[in-house]
Amino acid sequence: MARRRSNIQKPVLSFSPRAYIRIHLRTFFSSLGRFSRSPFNFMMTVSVIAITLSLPAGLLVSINNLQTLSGQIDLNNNISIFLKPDTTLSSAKTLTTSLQEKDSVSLAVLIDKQAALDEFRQYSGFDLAIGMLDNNPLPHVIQITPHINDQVSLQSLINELEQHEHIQLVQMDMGWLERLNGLLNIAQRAATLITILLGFAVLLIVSNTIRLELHSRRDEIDITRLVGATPSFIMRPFIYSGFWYGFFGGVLACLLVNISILLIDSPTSSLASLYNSSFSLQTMSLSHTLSWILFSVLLGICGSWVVVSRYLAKLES
Amino acid sequence: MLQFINVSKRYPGGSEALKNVSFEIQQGEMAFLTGHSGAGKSTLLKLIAVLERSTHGQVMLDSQNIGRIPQRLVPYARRKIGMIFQDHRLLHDHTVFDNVALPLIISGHQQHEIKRRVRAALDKVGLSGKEQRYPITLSGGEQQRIGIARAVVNKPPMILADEPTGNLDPELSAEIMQLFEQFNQVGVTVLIASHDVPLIKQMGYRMLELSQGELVQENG
Repeated sequence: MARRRSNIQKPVLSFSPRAYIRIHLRTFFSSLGRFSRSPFNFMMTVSVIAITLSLPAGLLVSINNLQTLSGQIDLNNNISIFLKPDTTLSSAKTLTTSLQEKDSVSLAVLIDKQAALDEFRQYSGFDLAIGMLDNNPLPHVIQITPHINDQVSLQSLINELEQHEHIQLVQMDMGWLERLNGLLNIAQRAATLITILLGFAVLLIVSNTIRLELHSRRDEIDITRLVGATPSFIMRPFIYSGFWYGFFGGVLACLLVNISILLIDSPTSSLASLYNSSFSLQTMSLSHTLSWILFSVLLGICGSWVVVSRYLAKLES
Repeated sequence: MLQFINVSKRYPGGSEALKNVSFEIQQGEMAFLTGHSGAGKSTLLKLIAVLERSTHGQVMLDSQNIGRIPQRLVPYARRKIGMIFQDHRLLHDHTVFDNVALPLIISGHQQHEIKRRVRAALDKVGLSGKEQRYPITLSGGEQQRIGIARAVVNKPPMILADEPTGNLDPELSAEIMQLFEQFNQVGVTVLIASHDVPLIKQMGYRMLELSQGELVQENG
């Protein structure tokens, strides 16, 4: 009986690795060949996938660019101390020295008001207007780089400084930058959510396309089953279709994003140059591009797998 | 080769397509299955191809109960049988060559082996030189020959044909039957379902007659 049972089994031939690879390669290219017979339909689906994916990809790359920009602006956690207008240069110097000696301060630099005015005159182009002023309207400023990082000790340092008789105003340069970074974090979270949602949309697009393809090739599926095709043989071309949809959709999405960046890069650069910045937009990095294509390919494969395996399970039952 | 032991098939909804059918076909035998439409011929063939499973009894192919093999082995069981259909069941957007090559592609043969075997099969059914034509450009008789070539290209030990001459005129029908005889002469077991009794009688092979799901007559 045992011998009889082994009568019908998976033949060695279809499971030798070479035959297996042969079947895969054949399907891989024949699924591409099928697209070449109806390029319009193929390009429509690919375009829908690409546009859907280019939205989150573009959003993430914009956030990356803003993060780079905020990183370029100021890396130091500087505090500017504006002294009262009647403070003399010598007492400002004494104050600077005493600040320098504090443990919580790593560097204190005095910008005296005459130097500040000269610098302003040099860079602003208001040379004539400044010359008309009777006296220097600028205060002495001490710029300190604190030696501490945590918010609480920073705040107590600021409070302490504000009590000083010569000090008018203490300003954290980082304040607005932190708020920008906070906003960017929210944007990034939102972009991740959008990625998940639109990724799901791509999954549905591929599923639906493959479902239609299954429907139109129903006879072919029946016939191949009749002549002894295994479910995986029948599934394979559709999984590869999903792969190609994902692959080309992903590639096109990255192209769309990078072309858009290049299109808005030159106006951005000229805007940045007005602020004396050499900032220019970065296109998607290679690793970003590859991971987006991989993401898209995975969505394509999953989308088709879900539909085809359900379809075959229904046929077998 | 093929043995039915007390086989019954009841479809959901109550209609009983086969009632307690028993018979045996020896290896290398050629036999006909006759009966009016609805007598159960198609059901019987479907049980052999494991397109349906019997409700009772055993369908033994090559001394294995194929009615009870697990679903994952069914494709491999089907590769032991070459099936031919009345409506040919060809892929119309593929060439004659691709149609015939299908069973070989499924079992992962090499390209040169596929070419060799497909040419041989097409040669046997008299379709040499038409490899690159599309089925729709060929006549009904030629399309049926494509179906036969596809059924034999994998060299299965058994051929099943469901009304292979159903749409053909008597002359073409006789030619197709001669083809089956040729395959039988080289040792292939052949079972043909047909209601063309005069033609079958003239050929003088064993006849199994079904009527309302029962085997009513067995002669030959």
